Amino acid sequence: MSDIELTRELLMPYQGLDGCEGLCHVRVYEELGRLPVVIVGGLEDNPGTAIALVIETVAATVQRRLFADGRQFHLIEHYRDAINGLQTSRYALVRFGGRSVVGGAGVWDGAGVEGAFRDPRWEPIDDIEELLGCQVAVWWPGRYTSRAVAGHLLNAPNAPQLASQRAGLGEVA
Amino acid sequence: MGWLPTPLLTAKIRKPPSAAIIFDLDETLLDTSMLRGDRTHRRWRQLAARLDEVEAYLDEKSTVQAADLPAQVKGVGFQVGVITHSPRWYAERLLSAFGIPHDALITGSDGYAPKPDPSSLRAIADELGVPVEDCIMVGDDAVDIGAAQNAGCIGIGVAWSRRAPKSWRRRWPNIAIATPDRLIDVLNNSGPRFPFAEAVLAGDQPLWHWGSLLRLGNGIYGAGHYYTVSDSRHPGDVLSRLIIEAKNDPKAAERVGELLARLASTRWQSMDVDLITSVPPKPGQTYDRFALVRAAIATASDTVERGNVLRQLFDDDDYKHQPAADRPGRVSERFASTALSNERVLLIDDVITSGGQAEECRRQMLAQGAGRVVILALGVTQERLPRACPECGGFLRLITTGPRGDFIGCSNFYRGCLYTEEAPSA
Repeated sequence: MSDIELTRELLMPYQGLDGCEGLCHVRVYEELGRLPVVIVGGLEDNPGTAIALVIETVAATVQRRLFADGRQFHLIEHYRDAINGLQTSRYALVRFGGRSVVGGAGVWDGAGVEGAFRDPRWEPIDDIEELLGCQVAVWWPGRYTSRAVAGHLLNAPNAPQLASQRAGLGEVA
Repeated sequence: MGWLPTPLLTAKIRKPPSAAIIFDLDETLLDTSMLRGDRTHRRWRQLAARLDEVEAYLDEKSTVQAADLPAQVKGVGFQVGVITHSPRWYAERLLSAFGIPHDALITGSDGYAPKPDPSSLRAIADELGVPVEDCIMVGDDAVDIGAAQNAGCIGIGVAWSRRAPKSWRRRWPNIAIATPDRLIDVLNNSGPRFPFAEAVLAGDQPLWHWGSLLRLGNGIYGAGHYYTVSDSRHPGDVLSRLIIEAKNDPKAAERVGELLARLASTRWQSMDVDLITSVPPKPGQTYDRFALVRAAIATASDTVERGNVLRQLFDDDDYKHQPAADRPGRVSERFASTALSNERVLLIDDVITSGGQAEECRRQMLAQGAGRVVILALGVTQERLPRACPECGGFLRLITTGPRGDFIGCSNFYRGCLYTEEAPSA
């Protein structure tokens, strides 16, 4: 049995194109001795630029907000599902050609956010649960919205913990 | 092969009911090649500033231009969709600037997984109210064709440059065209469509067209698609079954010979050769599976054939289990050629996967004095499209070694999955 677990879940704003702010669903899975795995989900009612188009900025925002100590992480993009009723969720591991996130003292220096993650490549993931080694909640097509995710976060068993994370990050209520 | 339903007659194009044509945007409908770098490196601001550089393709030999195709097919009742993974503002500005009509548009701003994932194709079919299997995807890139294959619909590859992209090799389109007016012919059912071998086996008139052969570049051609036995398309694919049978069955080999011999009556200029030979049998193997094939082509083209030009010096049992990229290194010096004197040679093989064996044979013949060597394979191995076992999630494959004949079984048979299906007849 794997010890990896969902440690953080939140709605995270990010800077889209033309100053239009987007919102994505972020889940962080962690296990001792492994790099954290971050799943960023594109919400169906995302008011801003799709995460795929600004994945560099999304990655930099995750780094700055969740791993300000400079820790590296695996980034996985969760796509919208194709049509209602289809039960498969689609994920891709995002690899970056360039990634300069650690400052001289081994600490994330926060500089150059725009250029920190460059040249993304996507590798489709057939089975996210096999890759992570734990269950991953499925969001049904048509219901993967910021309102539904916010409701889920408020009702989650560890809601106080998640709520405190939200308070620190200024996510939507 | 009869994928277009009985056509309804219209003024110019006869349209199958409930069908939609889905176009890729970049380098299919419009020439955006000058912006490829900005798109690839996602320099969206630079891209926005350079949109006026985009041009329509102009082909003087074609009666229809690429940018006019959506209006043409829409005019006779097809629904038109456009899929691009560029941002929505980019697509909308270009479609508007060039007056390209469409009923649905899916862009990179919509958050679907990029092609070849079929999500965007399924989504646009859903928006158009058409079963995705009834759509036809038209695009220039292997990812467009891959999306079509993954969604279970027909993929038409366009090569306006009249040069097949290298990326098509493992995902060759069902139909390949080089001029926009050929799309109208294809939709009309009024001209040749499929690769040569597939057309002949389907009983069609094997008329010559740009997409008659799979053009792999560097003088290598294939006469059709080859789907491996673990591919969900294999059981129903006549050519793939024939290729397997011809390895041991002289009657099947004779059919292959008759089939390829018909190439001699086409306009394929590479058929004009001095000598026909083939990839040699393994050491110790007495059955030459290409003997009847060579003989048939030689008779039809009035050319000399020789089966003893090449010899295989040693065997490599593990060769087919090597990744395609590693294969060329493993075939080095495995073949030897007799001396030649500037002949133009046609080298026959049954299947091209990496092309390593055939290319090594060619290298040896050129080293021994051949003037030119063109490689022709019956099939070109395509990327596997597996179908999941409904019981265990393994993949289904055609089993041809069963004591009661062929059947479809599960790859997890040896782990205890006993799921089987009847094999469709070839």
